[in-house]
Amino acid sequence: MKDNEHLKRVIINISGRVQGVGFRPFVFKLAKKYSIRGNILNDLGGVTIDAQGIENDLMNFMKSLNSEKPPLAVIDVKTFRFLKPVFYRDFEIKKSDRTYDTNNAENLNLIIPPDIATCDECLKELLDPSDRRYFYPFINCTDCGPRFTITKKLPYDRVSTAMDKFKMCPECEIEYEDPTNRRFHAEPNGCFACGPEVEFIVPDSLGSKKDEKIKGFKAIKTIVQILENGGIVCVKGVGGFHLMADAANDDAVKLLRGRKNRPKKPFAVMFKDICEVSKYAYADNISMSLLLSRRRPIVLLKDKRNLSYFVNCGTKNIGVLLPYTPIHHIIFSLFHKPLVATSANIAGQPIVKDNDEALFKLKSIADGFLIHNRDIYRRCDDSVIKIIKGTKGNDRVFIRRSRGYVPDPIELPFGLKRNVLAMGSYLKNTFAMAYSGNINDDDSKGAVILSQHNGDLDNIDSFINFTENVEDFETFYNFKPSLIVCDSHPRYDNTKWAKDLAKKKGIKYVALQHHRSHIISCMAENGLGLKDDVFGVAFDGTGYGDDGSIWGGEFFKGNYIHLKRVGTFKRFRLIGGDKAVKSPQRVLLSLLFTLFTENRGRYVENYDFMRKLSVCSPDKKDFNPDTLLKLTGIPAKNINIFFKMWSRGINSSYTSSCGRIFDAVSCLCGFKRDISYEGEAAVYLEDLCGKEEAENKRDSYDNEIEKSDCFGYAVDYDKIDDLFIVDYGPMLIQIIEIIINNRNPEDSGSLTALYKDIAERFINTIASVIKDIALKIGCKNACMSGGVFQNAFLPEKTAKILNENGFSVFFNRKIPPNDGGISLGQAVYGGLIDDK
Amino acid sequence: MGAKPLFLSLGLIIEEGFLMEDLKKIINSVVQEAKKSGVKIVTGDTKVVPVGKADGIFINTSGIGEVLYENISVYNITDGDVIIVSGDVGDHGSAVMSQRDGIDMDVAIESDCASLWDMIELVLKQGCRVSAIRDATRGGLAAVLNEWASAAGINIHIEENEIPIKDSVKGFCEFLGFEPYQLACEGRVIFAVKSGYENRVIEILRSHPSGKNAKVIGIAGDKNRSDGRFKGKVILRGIYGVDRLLDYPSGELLPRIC
Repeated sequence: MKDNEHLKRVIINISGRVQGVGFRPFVFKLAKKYSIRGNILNDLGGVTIDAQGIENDLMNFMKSLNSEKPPLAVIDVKTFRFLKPVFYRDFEIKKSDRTYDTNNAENLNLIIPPDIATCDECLKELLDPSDRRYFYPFINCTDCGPRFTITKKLPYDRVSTAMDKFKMCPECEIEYEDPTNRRFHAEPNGCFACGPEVEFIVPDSLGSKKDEKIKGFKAIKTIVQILENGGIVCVKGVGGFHLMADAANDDAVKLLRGRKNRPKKPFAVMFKDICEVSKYAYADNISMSLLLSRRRPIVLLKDKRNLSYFVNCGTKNIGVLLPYTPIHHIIFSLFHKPLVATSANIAGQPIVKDNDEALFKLKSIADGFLIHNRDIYRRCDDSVIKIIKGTKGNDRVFIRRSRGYVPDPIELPFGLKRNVLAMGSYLKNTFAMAYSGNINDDDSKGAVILSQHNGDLDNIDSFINFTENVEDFETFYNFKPSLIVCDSHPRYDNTKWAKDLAKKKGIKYVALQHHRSHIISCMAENGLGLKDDVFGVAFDGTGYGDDGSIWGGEFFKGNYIHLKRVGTFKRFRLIGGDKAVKSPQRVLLSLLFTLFTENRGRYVENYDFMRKLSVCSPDKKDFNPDTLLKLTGIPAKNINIFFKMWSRGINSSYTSSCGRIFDAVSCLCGFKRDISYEGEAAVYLEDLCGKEEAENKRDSYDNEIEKSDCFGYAVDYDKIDDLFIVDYGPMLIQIIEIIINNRNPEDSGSLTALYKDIAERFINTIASVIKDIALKIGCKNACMSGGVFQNAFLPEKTAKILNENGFSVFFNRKIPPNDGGISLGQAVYGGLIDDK
Repeated sequence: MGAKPLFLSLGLIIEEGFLMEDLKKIINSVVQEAKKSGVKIVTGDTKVVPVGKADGIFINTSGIGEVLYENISVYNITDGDVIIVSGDVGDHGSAVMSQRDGIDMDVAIESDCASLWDMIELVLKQGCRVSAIRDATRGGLAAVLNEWASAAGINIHIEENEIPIKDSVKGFCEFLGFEPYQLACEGRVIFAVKSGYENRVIEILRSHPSGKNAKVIGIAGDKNRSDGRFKGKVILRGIYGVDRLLDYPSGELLPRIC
């Protein structure tokens, strides 16, 4: 018996990611270790521990809460108060407390974990013929398994998840109650006797199930049989269904492309294990640890070209993925080749998540379905990460941040004035909820939760899914925003919806210009302070500008709540508006028209040069069609129509988009067709750069940017608008010179070398432009954001040349630099502006 | 709608220097159309203004008709009504634009200008139950459908593949980056027809020279969808079954094309 006068009792409230991570069983065992009595329970604030013991033991217990916590747990805030000791017989895990503490309404107290890939322990059991869970397709534990996608509400208990309709069998109950068992208090515990089961279905033409019931291992064998025969299967995973096919089988992959209406966009490929990966792709240490991590993203690696060409249609990279759910592992124990794994949806629509939905929507795409009866509550696509060279080793860039990362919050270095709901962008949408932090506590910091990837909102199903996800998050977190922030584009459906939503809630909304959102997102995730001005660079394909034109190559100076546009690329027309976004040829033509008709100032010499090349004739009316065809690939008859549109501005609004300039250079370097997916021309340009592959080495080319490594350009100053304007005309002229002067246009080898040289020097030029403007603006901190910074080479080139000139350079590394990160910038802005 | 046009007023504002022969051309074509449809031009006015005070010629008309068929109104559009268009859309808008801006296509695009009462009366005379009729002018098919959807408080679902469009108009739109449904028509009628009458209406329309390419393009109401999130919107279903909103046309497609 303990000496009562040394007995101390403390109530500890812990918030953070402390549910769904095995925290309660961990504390239970810790209590046993230190002879602590009392209890622990889940509540809506996190966990509450009532711990009592002799002082020394209690102190050690409290210290160990931090130092020995489970691998998935994240402790945000620990508060405690001491109370008078009472009589406790032992330590127990009490029932969860679902009463809502209104005092904590404003604070982010709960973080449910992202979905976690099957852990090594469970994998061992899965593949062990003597284990009772041998080949059990839903094996998991407190350290792994789905969480975000199967938790209906908080606090986290079995009854709040998709496992609520499965009652544990006696054997599982014993494990659940046994403190020495791996599955002590594992909420999703189950087995063949009591858990969910898989089923194989071939839908008839009406999209509903036939009477065939093929379940369990036989179902998975049937799926594998279809794959062996070159067919396409639809497999329910975590966050949604995958469509899968044999990645080495040309016909199978082509078939998938045809049925899914996805002509060229690369597919991700799932491999059995890391050994398999190395046969087909170059994987360095960073990539491998990312692939093996519990978050299991898709990682873009250099392709060794041993799979079907149609997997990525010739691009340099291949998206690599390792299995993350037991079903995948079982499939790979039977199927010994890599599998294309792409999200199961009709082009552009959200990933399918329910059995009926899959059978109905995809009946003409898949030859067989592997469904099961553990519901998925939230759609969640796979995440995609690209490894690029950084200044100090390799960096990871999020192309898409979703499964395995959402809903982990992004922590801010300061508190906010209010809770904010941010609508995000229109393309690659994520929305965000910003928590202000404790308004009464000066040191309290805010945090932002970004949603999963919601895709492009330009079709109805995606837009509806977006609105449903917003409502789901608000309910799940009991989130009450005081302000809604949206993009300033007046025609985005989520901009319009923001207004309606704000009205319905009786709160205000504010619109934030697209590129400012990009810059702010970069500032916030890098923890830049509120007081310091930054130099911001936002390069992307499109974003609505203050003046109604389409911005995309913009420079800013300022702070979180006020960013002044200080520079831009010389604007040019998009011939045919949206058509030009898909046509690098139209973009290039527009730029050439400017060059050919401009004969003042620095272009006086150029004009003679152009005439000598017979690119244009003296009276400026007709262009030499052969030369234009050679440069753009556009036939003469079309050029005349485009010229009329360009010169009269018929549906040809202006843009300053850097992304489009990339497209134009891409066209000069051989990409003379429409793009079939967003960024296709940019990837083509990137693939031209860099050395041929040496194993395990990230691509790079000579780092020092000398004048000869760049093309020419000029930076003019517009006094009226107080703007620096980048004129890339001299660059285009030099590139044209190179192409026209090429003596061996038929020799594809030397042509490739030529294009490579142009592409690399172009990237150098952009980096040099950024440096020049940075020097004019003068702020020490430089923030780069926007989809263009997904390029494998530009970030490092830019960072190096800016560092050499005394700048600190920041990129988006925790969230995507593309439009998937817009919501973070909107949320932070909305949290910092003054009350109006 | 459902009224027979009877009388027209014709007001002209003419810029000094406007060519007599062009004026004659215009007046002659007015006379021809009036004769065709039986409309009497009963009053009018002519003003000549100094050079630069008018863009060539402004023609203003007002019309009076007699309602022969009652109860044809946008408010009668209900769930299940079938949407029919009397012919290819976007002809007039693309014709005028290509002329005005000198965009020479391989095949010249002709306007679809036509008087419509004749054809409409054929349909109504035969007792087809029609909820609403409207001619597509400024803003084209998209404008009419949006006005209907919004006024009737009902969603309208259209199959993109079913909308009749001439290849030359498609090609023109490809170049310019427009959607044919947003370009003006000048001789097309859109019907909302009670379910069951659509085949008869199509038959009648196709028997008339102005309705040869009449087609069923969609349906009003939400029978197939259970989302209440959209009300009074036009939803376009594309070839792969992906739905998107067909918005009111905006910007440069609207001014002065008719």
